Amino acid sequence: MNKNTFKQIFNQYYNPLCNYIAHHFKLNEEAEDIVSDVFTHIWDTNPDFDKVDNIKSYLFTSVYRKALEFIRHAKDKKTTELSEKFVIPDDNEQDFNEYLLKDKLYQSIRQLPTKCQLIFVKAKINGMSHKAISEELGISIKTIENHITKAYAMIRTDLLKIKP
Amino acid sequence: MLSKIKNIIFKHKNNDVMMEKSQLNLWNEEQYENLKNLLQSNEIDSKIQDFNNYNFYNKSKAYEKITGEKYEAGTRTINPFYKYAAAASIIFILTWSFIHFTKDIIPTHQTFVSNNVVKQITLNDNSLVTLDKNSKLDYSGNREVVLEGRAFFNVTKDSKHPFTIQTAKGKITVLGTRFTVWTTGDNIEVAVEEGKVKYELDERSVILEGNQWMKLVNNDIVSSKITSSNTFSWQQNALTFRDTPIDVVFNDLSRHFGLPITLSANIKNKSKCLLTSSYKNESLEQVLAELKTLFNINIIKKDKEYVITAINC
Repeated sequence: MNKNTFKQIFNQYYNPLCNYIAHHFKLNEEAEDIVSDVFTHIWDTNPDFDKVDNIKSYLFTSVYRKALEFIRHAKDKKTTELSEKFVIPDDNEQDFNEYLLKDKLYQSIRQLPTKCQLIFVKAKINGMSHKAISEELGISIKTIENHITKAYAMIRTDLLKIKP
Repeated sequence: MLSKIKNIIFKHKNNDVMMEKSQLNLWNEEQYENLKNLLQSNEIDSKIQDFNNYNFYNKSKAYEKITGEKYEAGTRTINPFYKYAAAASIIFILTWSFIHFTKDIIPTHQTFVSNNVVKQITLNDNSLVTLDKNSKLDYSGNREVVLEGRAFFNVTKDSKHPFTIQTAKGKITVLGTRFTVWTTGDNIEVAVEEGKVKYELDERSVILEGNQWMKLVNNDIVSSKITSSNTFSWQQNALTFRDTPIDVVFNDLSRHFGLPITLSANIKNKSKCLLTSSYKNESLEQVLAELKTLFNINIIKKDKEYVITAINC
């Protein structure tokens, strides 16, 4: 595998994988180490991806196993008990796709202009009423509506830019 | 023979790269389809709820740790034209912002003191200030003032640069409105004629809209609708009363002339005494003399304060 391919894969998967581990195992602090371990292994051994027919499931199941391994090694009684609850996922494509999708979506929300983003997050994610936002920021409800429409439009164009 | 082996190795390597490429393309296509579905089905709203639980980790730091190589996000070749265009626009922006911002930042610091007259002041952002007698206004030249006493503000609209008024008791922030601020020692009153005003004191704040006023009572912010017709009267030096209860009259007089007038607690039926009258350019003494004849009032003058001890009507 050449460097460029590695980088592309790393770029697309690192963040979704970290979040997947953080959410599934509640390992917020260790998620990065676990995912980095898997990528270090790929970098060092340069595995034959020729024989891997699905990079996506390969990566997700790899980090999943790594996380289980981590929990077993932690030897903390509580986490050992916890680990018994987890079973290797049977290639849950839908779950994986969800993380990849959210990564792209949230990335484009983060790229919105500051004011636009602030209003969009307050209204659509934190569920604040337009009136409450208008009072907090001292701007009219009409302006808030305009910002939200603009935010949707920008997210749309940003997402559709990722044409293969 | 050797060349044949070489050929096979080469082919294999090439194949490897091809395979990887197609894998990535497949992923991209799949991803694109998913995104398109997401956008079409208007599912965005349900998907974004996790936004606050989703982290963005330091990708470049991790990449450098894993590979020992520098991480550069997206290596693209750039058309030289864009490079020059970018350089030109940067120079343009820098020059523009230099001119623009230096113009804004230069403070024309001024202090206005009104002694015995009401003063009209036009600030360099075209905001109008009516400064009451015995008041002081300190202007930094940058839509920031410090006020002692009373003033009416008619602030020009500039959504990017809020106008602030600092007082001994809290801060007022506005974008563009008309309102009065009145400070007396430890007290403050804000009355808004039009627009929106934000008052802040320590950790607390209140937003006042047109026809609302607030006052500090025992260090608590009390706000309500403006009921008196004389809230902004001091500027014109005119007062009008129409069937106004006498306690409200004294309240208005006190506000209008900027002198405390208190009513003794033992006065009864004060809301039954109604006054209908108007005054223009009259002194407090003249108004009180008229009230004395109308309502048989007993007034005690103490230093800079009036105390009403009896009302009969």
